[in-house]
Amino acid sequence: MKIYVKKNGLTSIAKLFSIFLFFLLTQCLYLDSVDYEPTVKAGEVATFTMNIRVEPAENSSDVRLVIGYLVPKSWNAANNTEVTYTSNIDEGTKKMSVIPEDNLPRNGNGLTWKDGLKNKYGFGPNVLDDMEWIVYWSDQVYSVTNGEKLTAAVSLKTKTGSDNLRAKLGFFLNHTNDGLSSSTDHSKIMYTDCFEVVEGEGSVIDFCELHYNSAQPINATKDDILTIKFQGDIGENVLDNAGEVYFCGTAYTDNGNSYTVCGPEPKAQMRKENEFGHTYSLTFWPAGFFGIPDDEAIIRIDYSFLNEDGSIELQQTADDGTETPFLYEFICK
Amino acid sequence: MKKSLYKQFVLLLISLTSMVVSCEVFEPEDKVYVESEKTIAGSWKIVEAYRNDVDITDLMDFSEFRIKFDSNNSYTIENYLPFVVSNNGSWNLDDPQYPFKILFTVEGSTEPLVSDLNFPIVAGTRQIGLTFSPGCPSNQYTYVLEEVTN
Repeated sequence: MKIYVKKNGLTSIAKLFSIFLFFLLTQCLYLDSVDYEPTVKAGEVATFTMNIRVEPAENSSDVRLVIGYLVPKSWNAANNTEVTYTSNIDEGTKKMSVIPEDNLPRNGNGLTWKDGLKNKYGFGPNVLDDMEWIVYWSDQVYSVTNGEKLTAAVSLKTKTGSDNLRAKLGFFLNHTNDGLSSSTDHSKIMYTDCFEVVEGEGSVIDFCELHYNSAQPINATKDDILTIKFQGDIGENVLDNAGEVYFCGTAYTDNGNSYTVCGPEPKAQMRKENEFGHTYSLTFWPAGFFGIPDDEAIIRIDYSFLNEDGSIELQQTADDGTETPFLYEFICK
Repeated sequence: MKKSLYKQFVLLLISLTSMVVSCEVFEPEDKVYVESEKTIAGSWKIVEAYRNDVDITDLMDFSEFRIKFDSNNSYTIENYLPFVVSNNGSWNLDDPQYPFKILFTVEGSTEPLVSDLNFPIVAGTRQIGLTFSPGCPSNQYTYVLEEVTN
């Protein structure tokens, strides 16, 4: 009986070891680098090249390469991107296409590929959430064999939007046989440094770094719901000792009128986001908040932040020390 | 002994009879299950709000908004917030049995505005989920409504 138990124990250890070895051996996807020019003019094509290695340690069939791409929503990249690749096992250039919504990743807990990536990685290191994941797979289905060494260069060419912006774009690598499992052996992720779109419209939308102010969504009309934040935690500022923070803003409309709501009054009081920090936010429907008539559209809001009695105001400070209100432009594309 | 044989004979007879009866051909009744028509008549309030899939329920006061769907297919809005439509009018479901869209036609208009519709029961409570873009088309909002019970 004892011998039997021992044998069984040894068998179990051997099985566990085999499983461990299996997972160890199936490390096979590598994202070595993402090449790109750090700046592009608004409306022009930005090119990103993902340099990939695939080193399977087992035979797999019916597998497709999967690429995730995190970009600002305003680029409408799903309709403005061409994804192709070359590899050492293909002749010529091959195409990748957006994965259909009804094809779910094998280990995505019922979520679509893009929702699964959003759930797993959010918006990466970016500080604004107006970004989206777009997920592509190779049009070609592959069979790979143990010991093969595959290399590929995936090229993503996107016509950028018209906004001036800075963002850290995300690049994710996976394959359909894995389908967003928790194993990092089968997937890799990489973000660019702060990539810039210049010579476009409006003030720079900065996804890369926190500022005293932020506003979301980036594109809006007076009938959206807007969130404006005062992020006092990023550095010492004149409102550090304010017990309450109020919004002070003026909306300018397309027929030359202006409408002001300036604290302290209850509707202009900003909500403290947590007990210990100095981040406050105000979420409102602009048309209702400022009382804009139906036949007028808001072009922009100039705003600042005030303490409880309005005696201290925080605006943006230029390099020369000049203070001006923060600006939110109503752009909708 | 005779009595016992008689008893056994009766039992056998009953069994045979029931077997014969059970061998009758089953004639299924000619009934088809019909899904009930869904009704959304009543006054509804917002219990959850999402902007571009981000939960904003606690960031703004949504509690005063009301939409009342009447059984005569008219609707009225009180304490307006960004919504599918901004004025009162009439409503219809794309399919009363299996609704996936709700059509709002503002008074004086002939073109309905369409919103995606979910109609789940969550924790025993019927909810309506509406998805729409009242402002910039790139922004999508979802409101989850529950019927107001007084």
